[in-house]
Amino acid sequence: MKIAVCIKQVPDTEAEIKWDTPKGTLKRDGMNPITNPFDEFALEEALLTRENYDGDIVAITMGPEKANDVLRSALALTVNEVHRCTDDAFSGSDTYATASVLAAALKKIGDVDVVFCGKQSTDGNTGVVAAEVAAILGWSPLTYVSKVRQIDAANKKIVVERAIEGGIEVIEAKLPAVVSVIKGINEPRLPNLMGIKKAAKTVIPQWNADDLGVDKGKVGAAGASTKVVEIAVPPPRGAGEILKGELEDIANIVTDRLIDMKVIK
Amino acid sequence: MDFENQLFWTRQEVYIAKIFLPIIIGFLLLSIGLLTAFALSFWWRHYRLWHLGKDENRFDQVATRVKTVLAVMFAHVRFWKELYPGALHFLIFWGILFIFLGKIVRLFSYPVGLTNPPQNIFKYASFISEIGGLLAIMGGGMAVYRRYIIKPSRLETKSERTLIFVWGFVLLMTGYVIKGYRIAAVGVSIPSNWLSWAPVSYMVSHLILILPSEPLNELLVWHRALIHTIPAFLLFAYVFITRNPLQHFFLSPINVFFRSLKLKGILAPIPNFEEAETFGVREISAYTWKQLLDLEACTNCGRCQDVCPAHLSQKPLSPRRMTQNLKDHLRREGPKLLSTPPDQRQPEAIMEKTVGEDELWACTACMACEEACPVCIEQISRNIDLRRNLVLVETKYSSDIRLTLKNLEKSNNPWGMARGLRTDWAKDLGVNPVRNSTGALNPATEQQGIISNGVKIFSEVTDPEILFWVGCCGSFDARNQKVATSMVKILQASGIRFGILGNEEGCCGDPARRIGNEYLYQTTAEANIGIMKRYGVKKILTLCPHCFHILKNEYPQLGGDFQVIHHTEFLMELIASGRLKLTKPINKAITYHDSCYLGRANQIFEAPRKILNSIPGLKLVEMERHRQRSFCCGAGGGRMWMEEHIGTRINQMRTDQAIATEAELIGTACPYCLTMLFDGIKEKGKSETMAAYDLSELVDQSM
Repeated sequence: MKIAVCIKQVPDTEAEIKWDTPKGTLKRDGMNPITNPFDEFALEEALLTRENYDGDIVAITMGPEKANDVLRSALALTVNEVHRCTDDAFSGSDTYATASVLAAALKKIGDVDVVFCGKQSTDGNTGVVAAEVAAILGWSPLTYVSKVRQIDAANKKIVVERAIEGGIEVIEAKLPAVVSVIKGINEPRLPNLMGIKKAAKTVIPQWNADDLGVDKGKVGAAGASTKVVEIAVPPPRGAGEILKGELEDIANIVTDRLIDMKVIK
Repeated sequence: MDFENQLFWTRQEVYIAKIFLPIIIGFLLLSIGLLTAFALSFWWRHYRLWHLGKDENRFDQVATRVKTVLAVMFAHVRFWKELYPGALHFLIFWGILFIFLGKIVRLFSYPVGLTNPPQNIFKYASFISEIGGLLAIMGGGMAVYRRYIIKPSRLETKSERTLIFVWGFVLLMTGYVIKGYRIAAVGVSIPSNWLSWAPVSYMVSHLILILPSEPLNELLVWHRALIHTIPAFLLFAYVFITRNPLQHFFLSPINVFFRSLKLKGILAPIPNFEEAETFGVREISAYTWKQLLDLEACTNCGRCQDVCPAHLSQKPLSPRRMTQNLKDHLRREGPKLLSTPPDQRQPEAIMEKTVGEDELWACTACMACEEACPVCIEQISRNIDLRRNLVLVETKYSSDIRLTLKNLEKSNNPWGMARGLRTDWAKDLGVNPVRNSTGALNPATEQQGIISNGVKIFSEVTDPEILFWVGCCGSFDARNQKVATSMVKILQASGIRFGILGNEEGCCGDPARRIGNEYLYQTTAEANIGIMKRYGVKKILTLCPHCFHILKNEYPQLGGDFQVIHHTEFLMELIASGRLKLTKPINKAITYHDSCYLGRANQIFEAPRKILNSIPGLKLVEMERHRQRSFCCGAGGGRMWMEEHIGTRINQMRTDQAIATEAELIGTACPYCLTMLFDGIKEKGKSETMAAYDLSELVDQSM
């Protein structure tokens, strides 16, 4: 079985966040780069799948040189192959452009049975790239997966559970499939030191736009079909006011205030 | 003496010279031969087991080592911390030593002196062995009383030990009996005046009945020696052939000889880190030979267990138990490994079967066990070696450890707070980092300029005297930020030219190293060393004993040689030199908590006490467990960053000990201890009457 994983490097949003408000982007310098936490679940799911069904795992990412780190982390966890998709033309890509690059990479890898992704990234938080990749490739889109029940590579079938509001949806779909996973689907394992050391010495192969056969006009800032118009930090919430006294008096005060604020008449 | 008896003994002398003497000599030679064989076999078997372990050089500074062995063996210096057990062991040791000395000399007297009047040396030997016997009986009696009647919790008594006691007493008694018999049978004229030289036997002789039948007496005389020498021979053989507690006679002094000559609590780096295929200890032969010797030298005395904060707070850890379990593991697995060729060995893992995970992680690395152990066993590094394997190879650890390691990796501090926030504590003290973490000039500073009276970055200080290493706690933890602030005020008041590393300061690496992530520690430490060397740092002042210990004692392993001083030493110097005047009184009773890494590890006990005595109005009250015997606050060994799920909370136990002194203040010199005791006071509901302060805060108040 051939298993692919899409990983993204994101800034650590648990640390301090600074915005470049005019540009509408995050100020990434000075922020620690980490593997997108949801992609860690995807990677673990790929490792579990390989353990259950035998096969090879290929991890890909689209990003600048620093993004090699996420691929090294994947190598330290014993994935078989990694590739970094990088090209100046990719800079400024929106979700669809990113998805088309990843799709091209997956096509280039060839014979992929299942692709695992995290459900969203913690910087953009759009959560659509997995579905877009599936749409571009014409593969089964399986998003918000909370459990993979079975993968039958021979008969090209996959059965998953999706977490939906109020319950679980069980879906049987055709392979190849793009599966985006939610937090808690598994417990990501940690790399041991031997893995880290071996990965540190590995040279990470790159694919540029030509290698992938991607039209440079359709990706990057040039090919973006969406644009960030504005980023604003919500104003800090003011301190609340605590009302003390008899219940009836409080009720009257609250009603008066709501009327003043024109919330009720 | 009457003629009959004289004849009797003259006949005996004939027998002795022609028949008995050769038999005796033959027997002696045979016994010596056999015992030598047993002894060699003993050493060979043990050497092979130890040889399973890795190399380690413990053959340096032989003179110091010999001195320690002599001091421990003859003066029993490591035993006197507890008077009764120390005294009884002292008596037993000297008793047996005297007996041996006397007996060996006496053995020579058989071939030499029986037919001649005994020379004086034999008389002295006889006296010494008699006294020795008395000492041994006294000590033995004290031991029996303690072990079988008082029954302290730390003593485990198996039937083998009772056998040894009985055997020992039989030997002591028969020794006196045979001599007493001889005196009784012979009277006082042969060999000489026994009263002076064999007082006990002389007294025993009055209790012995001499049979009227002469032949029977003769038989008894000839065979009297056997009731003593055969059990003695069997005991010696037993010591060498089986595994028994008496082997500590040899193993313990050897262990003391090979002890660590470094300060306690210094961990060794992983040898050959670049090429190593595995890290830490998974199975028994991954330990060094000294660590294996440690296991066998343990006498199961339990002193370590009695002082271990984890054990006393009902965690599943007892250092003694772990050593004994590992010893059993070695003795079980060792022979298996030795009989298999190295490439076919499948050694059993230590973790889970021999040492449990909760047991291993409960250790706070406080070194109380190492302090208490009379035979210098090194428990801490043995534990950390197991942790290294769990962390670096098995990647098996709880989620709070995982989070801490991740935070350290990402943000260079255990809380995972942004690096840029590290200098926030000093904002109001005037720190304006000149450069941000990528090296670009901070635009705010460009506009405002540097506030010259505040806290500056080291590289911006002209002719700095010292680098103030604030540490992660002083930088990020609210309670400890106040300590850092006090320290700054003291530095400013004393006119010291100091700087901080600011956002370039990274975690010293202690949490990572004690948790077992040697790789993360090395990366962090090497980065810190590089930064400090780049800025030409020579002298470092630390707030925290863990930072102090690692910067001073462990960074040199990675090439970082700096002069490191802890803030208590520094404050004491300032006070002693008069640069700092303490005038405002604090009229309260205070008890001082000795931190493990300041006290036991680095032997700094006086400096903090001198500081407290210099503050007018303070009255120092010591807790029962203080100085070397201080009780850990519970935060060491990386445990500050782990949840405590089992048993009583260690910090509450220590707080109880402080409350028992009825002091109003607890003085600390460590941010971990301060946090733990501060929390402990709150948890015990004593916040109205008690408060915990760092010594620098008290000095600041008194300035």
